Amino acid sequence: MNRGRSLAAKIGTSMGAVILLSLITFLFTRLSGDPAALLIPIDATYEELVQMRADLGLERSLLAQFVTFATNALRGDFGFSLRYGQPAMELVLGRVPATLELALSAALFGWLVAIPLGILAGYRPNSMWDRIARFVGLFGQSMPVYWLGILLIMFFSVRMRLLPASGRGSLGHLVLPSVALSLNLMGSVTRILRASMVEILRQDYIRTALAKGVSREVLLFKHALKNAAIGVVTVIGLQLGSLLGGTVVTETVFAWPGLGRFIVQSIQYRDFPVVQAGVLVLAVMIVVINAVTDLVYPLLDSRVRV
Amino acid sequence: MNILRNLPHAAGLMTVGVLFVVLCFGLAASAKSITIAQGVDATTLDPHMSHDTPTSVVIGNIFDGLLQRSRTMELEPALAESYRQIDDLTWEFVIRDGVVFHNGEVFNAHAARYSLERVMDPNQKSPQASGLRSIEAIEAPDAKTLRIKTNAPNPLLPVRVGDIAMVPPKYAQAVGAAGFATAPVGTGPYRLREWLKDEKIVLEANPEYFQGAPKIDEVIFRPIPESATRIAELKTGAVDVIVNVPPHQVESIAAMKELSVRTAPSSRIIFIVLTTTDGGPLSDKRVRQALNYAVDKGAIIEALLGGYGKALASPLPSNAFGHDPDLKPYRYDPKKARQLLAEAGYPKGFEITFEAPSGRYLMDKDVAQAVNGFLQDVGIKTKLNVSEWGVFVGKLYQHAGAPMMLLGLGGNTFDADAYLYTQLRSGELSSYYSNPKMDELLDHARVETNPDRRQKLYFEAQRLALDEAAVIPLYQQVDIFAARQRVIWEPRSDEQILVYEMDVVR
Repeated sequence: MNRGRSLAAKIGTSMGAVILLSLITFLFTRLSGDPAALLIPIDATYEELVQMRADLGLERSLLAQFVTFATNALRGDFGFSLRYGQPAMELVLGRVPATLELALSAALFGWLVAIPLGILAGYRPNSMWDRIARFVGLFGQSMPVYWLGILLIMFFSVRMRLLPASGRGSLGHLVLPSVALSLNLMGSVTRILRASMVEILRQDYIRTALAKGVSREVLLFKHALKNAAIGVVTVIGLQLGSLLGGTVVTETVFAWPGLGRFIVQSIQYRDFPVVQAGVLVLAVMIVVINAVTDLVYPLLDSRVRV
Repeated sequence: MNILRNLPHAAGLMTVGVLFVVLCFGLAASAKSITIAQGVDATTLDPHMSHDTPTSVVIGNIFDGLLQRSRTMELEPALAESYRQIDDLTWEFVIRDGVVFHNGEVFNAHAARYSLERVMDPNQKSPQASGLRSIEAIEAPDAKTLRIKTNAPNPLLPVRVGDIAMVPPKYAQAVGAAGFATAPVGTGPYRLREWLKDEKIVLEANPEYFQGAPKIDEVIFRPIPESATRIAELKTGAVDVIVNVPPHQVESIAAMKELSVRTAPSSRIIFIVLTTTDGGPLSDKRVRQALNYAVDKGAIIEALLGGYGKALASPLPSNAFGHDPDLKPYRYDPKKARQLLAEAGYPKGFEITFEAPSGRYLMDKDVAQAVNGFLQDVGIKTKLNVSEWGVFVGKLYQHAGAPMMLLGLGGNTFDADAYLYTQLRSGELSSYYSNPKMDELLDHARVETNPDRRQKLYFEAQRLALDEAAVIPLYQQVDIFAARQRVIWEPRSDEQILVYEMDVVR
């Protein structure tokens, strides 16, 4: 009962956030420049410029434009891209698989390295694994993705001829961008997990459990890791969000046909319908990730309720 | 069993294992095909809706126009066998027999008429419509004859009409504009096989091509935005030809024996628009001349473009009709600049804003900064404003920008009209100059059908622009490409990459 109501409230807040974001996107794109100027050739006349603006519906008031946008959007119609002449939402959704593919493989790779490494480092501070973990933490979070990407290409593609340098297609194409994209989150998950483990293993209840004769496996994985995981889940949720929208640099360096690069290009060309559809899709994905993160908390800590 | 003791090893192995497995994927195969990397993907494959170079490069391989440009940029017959001017206002094109579109539809004068009218149709909203403004009526009395009437004499009609891509009427009407954009059908040497947006466009040879079957069977266009990545892909051999090589990267490519840098003089020029009509300091001819003397074009070309540029005397590239090769640019003479400023009543200079786009033209921001420095050397207190193209172009057209703006101009008309009219004819959208004498010359040249007389008019207009210092002409760009040695190809001046002209050696 109580739970149901708070869930409904959460969905309501999320929808409100998505609507507010759409409104902000709408306003900012409209204030950022004139798409008509970008669409006409330089030898066009003033009349042609005015005509183009009228055709795009830009001569009307902002409010009228927003009402049209909102009513059409509610019907699932996001209009046609100004550059591509194709339905905007279709173009955006066409980029989602590539983005998900890269974000998920980067996340999985990052976690597969970071989680064991963080546990080990936290369990045995100052060991060799701990030193590796601290290096990964520092390196991953301080290395600029652009620079790292170019280095990876230079070494693994140009020199070693092991992997394709850019583009999408085979599994091999996924490797370098995933590695480049994963390093940052690998670094932060390693650091947070290590710190939480160190912290938790010092707690009284761990010592009590140890004294009680709880086996080390149960101690580490049940008592310690489960508590350390809460902080990590929060970070992971945030990371997934930024992986989906914030991969512009990686997508550019590796010529990955993803959503981030597409939206940035569309902003440069003032392709309003695409920007709006793109931001909406990203917002919905992030809302979903946040909801899933929220649902995971109570599984880890029974004091937390949804 | 004590898992915990083994845990460090197990987890360690897992870490190393994941790293290793991940690195062991991927190998590519090669076929008799060619891969070309541009900076961005095509936006549409509807030839009448294209308004950027990367798009028109792809489209140029799928479609033909009535006329085409030879390697030396002369107009020559393509889908039209010949053309002639019947009277001042009428042109006639003889349409080639026996050409079919990729889908089997027959190409004839009716298809040509449909194609031109499609561009002119206001509902189509084609960015090419402005080039066909002068057309009054199009007739196709029979399958071989296309007659075009203009509302005024138009010496550029063959250039404007000849460039429009021919599309199949039945198919285009059946699929509609959005359908045509992703499933184009033309008469060209290649047809579309696959288009994965932002990933690749695959074209296959059209063995029925009317000029003979192409030598290369398959063409892949890949968008690779980052120039360092484009160069890396060229080095790995995954890509055969790349565009837009930054001048400072030329050496690293030239150093590899399997690669070569290839250049062509571009139709693109870079210059500075001066607002001469607002009563400010730039309304004084002596001030404009001073600015021209103040900027060292040679130094900019050498230091920023690696020598890949040609100093200009007028806002017109050397490969355009009407270009006067005898005109000398203003020399670099800061003393003379100061003297002229003093004469004009600005011995201590003046304050002025200078606006430039960023990321639109090769080294645009850096060139603007260099110009800024030269102007400050002669005492003009310039404030440089760098903005992103979308903001910049809006201000340019609305005349809401700074009194000085860095601008580039290019295209495939190769004619003085396309440059001088838009920039120097008063009242034009991006013209900030007004002079009745200039208007008269440009208006006259626009309707003068005798090439010699037309050229004389443009020579005169350029001399006037030079004396008036109507703009600060900087340089004509050189387009820098790079290719693997196995590719037999020389770049063209019209930015087109016609794979039909290419071959590869094994």
